[in-house]
Amino acid sequence: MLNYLVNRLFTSIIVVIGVCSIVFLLIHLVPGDPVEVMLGESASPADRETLRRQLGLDQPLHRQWLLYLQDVARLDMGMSIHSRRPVTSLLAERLPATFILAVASIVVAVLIAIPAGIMAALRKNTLYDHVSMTVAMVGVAIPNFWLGPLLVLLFSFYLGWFPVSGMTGPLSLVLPAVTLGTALAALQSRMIRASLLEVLGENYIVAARARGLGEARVVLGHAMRNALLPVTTVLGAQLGALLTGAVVTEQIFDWPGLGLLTIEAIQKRDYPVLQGCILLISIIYVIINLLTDLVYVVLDPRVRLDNE
Amino acid sequence: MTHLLEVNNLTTQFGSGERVEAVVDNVSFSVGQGETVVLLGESGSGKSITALSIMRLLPQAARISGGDILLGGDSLFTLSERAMRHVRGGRIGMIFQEPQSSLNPVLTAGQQIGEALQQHKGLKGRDQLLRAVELMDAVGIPEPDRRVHEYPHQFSGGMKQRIMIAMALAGEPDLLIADEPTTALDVTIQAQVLELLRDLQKKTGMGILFITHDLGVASVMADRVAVMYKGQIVEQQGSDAFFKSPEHEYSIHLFNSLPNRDKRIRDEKTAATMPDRSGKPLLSVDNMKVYYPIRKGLFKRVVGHVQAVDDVSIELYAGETVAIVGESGSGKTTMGKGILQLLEVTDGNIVFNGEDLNRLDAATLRKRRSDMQIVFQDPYSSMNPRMMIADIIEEGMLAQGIGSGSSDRQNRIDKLLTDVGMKPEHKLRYPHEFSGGQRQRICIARALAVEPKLVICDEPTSALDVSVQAQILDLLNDLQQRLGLAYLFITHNIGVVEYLAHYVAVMYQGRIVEQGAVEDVLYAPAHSYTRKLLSAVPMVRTGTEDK
Repeated sequence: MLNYLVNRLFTSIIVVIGVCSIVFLLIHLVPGDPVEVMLGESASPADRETLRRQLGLDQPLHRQWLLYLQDVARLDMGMSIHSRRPVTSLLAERLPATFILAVASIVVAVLIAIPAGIMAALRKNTLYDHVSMTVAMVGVAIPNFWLGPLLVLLFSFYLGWFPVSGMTGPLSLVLPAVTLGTALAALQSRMIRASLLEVLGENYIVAARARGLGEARVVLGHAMRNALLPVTTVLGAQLGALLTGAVVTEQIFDWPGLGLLTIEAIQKRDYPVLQGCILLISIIYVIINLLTDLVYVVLDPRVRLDNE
Repeated sequence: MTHLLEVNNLTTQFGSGERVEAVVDNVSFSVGQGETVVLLGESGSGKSITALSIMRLLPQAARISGGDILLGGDSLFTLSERAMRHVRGGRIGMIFQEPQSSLNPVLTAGQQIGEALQQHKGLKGRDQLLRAVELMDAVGIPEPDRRVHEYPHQFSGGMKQRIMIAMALAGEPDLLIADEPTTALDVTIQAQVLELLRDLQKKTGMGILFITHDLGVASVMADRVAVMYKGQIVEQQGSDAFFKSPEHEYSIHLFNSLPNRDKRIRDEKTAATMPDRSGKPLLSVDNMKVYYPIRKGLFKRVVGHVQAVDDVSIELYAGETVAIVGESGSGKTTMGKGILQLLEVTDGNIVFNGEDLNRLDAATLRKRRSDMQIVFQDPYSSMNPRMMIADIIEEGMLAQGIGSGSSDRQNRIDKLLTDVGMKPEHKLRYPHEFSGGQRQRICIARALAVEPKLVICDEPTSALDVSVQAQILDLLNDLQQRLGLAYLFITHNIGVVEYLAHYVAVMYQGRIVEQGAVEDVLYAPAHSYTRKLLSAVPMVRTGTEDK
């Protein structure tokens, strides 16, 4: 087990270093002179020279790379060209908003998906099953940039229950979380249904019934624990996607998270901020992946011992 | 004897409307206290559906359409679902064919036994744990107080079945239904589990309804035998009478299908005559080793080896059959695949037709492949379901450049299918349209298509019913005599060895512990493992012979 952990941590670190290198190269992929692109054509030569030195672009490439890695290790990702503030503090400002939204969306999704998926599986091929799975299909198909404004129109403009946009207290969380959560729930409920149906056909389910266990115990105690294994993987990927900024949804609701920051950085050609965003997003992905695997180890005893 | 369980005119149907099929058709029998009734039959005969009907745990497509089942005088069909739950696991315990898949992989042995204890005995917490340990001890699991906390995958197959038995006993049932409980187990483990069941029956006085397809197992377990065929009980007798003189023609057919020495003499096949062993062997394997590295740690260092096949040597001459016998994990399949170079051989010489296969380059080896073929255990998964039979058989010929053109090959396919007892028009169908036995015939035709000298048969009849097995063995025999094929026959079934093989090698933990002529090894075994293996085989007591 410990071995496994060390192993996973080690590979994760390698991935992070790889990501850093790619992000570092990003600035060199900009066509033409990155300094010119950042400052615009009207900038004075002195300003350009200053920025060039600031970015270390006057050094040879391998040296730039080492410097970059050093800076990242010290959590120094440079200054925003636009706001003249350290990138690190900009990111630190935005991360909590994204985190809150991600967790809220997942909670919404799970609260809808688990009961819906279980019911659909247990009442396979009934009206309930068909209706809920059709709704789920529609849920997967509807894009957030359409559902979001629709919810705003209904619940904010007409009914006035929730604020239109921004992060202004608990109520403002509801609409973005619902927008994101329903889309996730749609996919999850279909997965839970399929996975549960498969497990319900297993021999150990018949064996559990033959022991005289009640239906609730059979479904929740035996079937669900196994059915949730594949769902966990999907959940991990979804959480990863959410934490790295639901770019579209944050834009719609003007939610001050990572996604919005990324979009702003792109629009303003604020390269250091964009680099920071991409780096953070990648690292979050790596961490989430690691956590998903660890959760899997807890849920499935077979994985736990295979790696000893 | 009072009747514990009475099944009266039970009929269970599948499907609805026009397409109703009675899988269990007007079946009646009874089980007394302390009595073991064996329900004997081949696959699809309705044995398991009878058992599930008693438990009222039928799959959704099935429906009980007639008859009654009485347990201690109470009709089970009038009980509510809630009351039925007290019967399941409380008054009737049940164990299943595959202990592997009958235990929930994410719950510990103790948790699963504990569930039954809580449901039927109201035990919780410490009392529950102690009783679970007691039960595990009673079914012969060593170190039960430690192992109670382990998960199913940490137990061997035999131990898993013991856990299932412990679970079934938790509710102290009057009746135990055992549905092929030892079919998935090795023969030595089977012997232990059967003995355990008999012991437990003696202690508790429970009745056992024992479902099996194996005449040997039936012979060991039964007080009474009921033979099922196509959903009906065609014969019901006391055990002694049944094994002395089976009455129904289907029962007699079952006995005649059993491969063994008597049948070999009766059929005057194979080998009343031993093949000529002078001259050069077709295949000679010297000191073959297949080792798998065990890797550990961060940098996957090799810390040891699994010695799957360790230093084995055998010889095989044209026209003869050498059987490799052993239990699961003994390395027999690995050895077969190693000889064919289907996996990497660590060391040793495999001289086939004068060439060392182990030293050939890939291109030459591919050309030699037409001389050696393999037939696998599971005819269901060894054919591509999306290919037509004609294409399946032709593929090898194309690869080896056999046949002068398409029409020549088609003619050969027709002939091959006829040779294996199928019809030429079958070639335009797909694998799923055939039964297991037919599929195995097609697999044999596929192997023969490239005109091999050696065919490795890896448990080719283990997935088949005994009457189908008899046909396939006959076919293999027949082909050997006509074509002079050499078989390396991998099996765990001693009866098949007796019937078919000239020579036999016994494998145990990757090594050949004993080899020689079949008569010598089976009737005068020298090695202790061979003796243990042979004594574990449940013998059918026929005629006046005792068990």
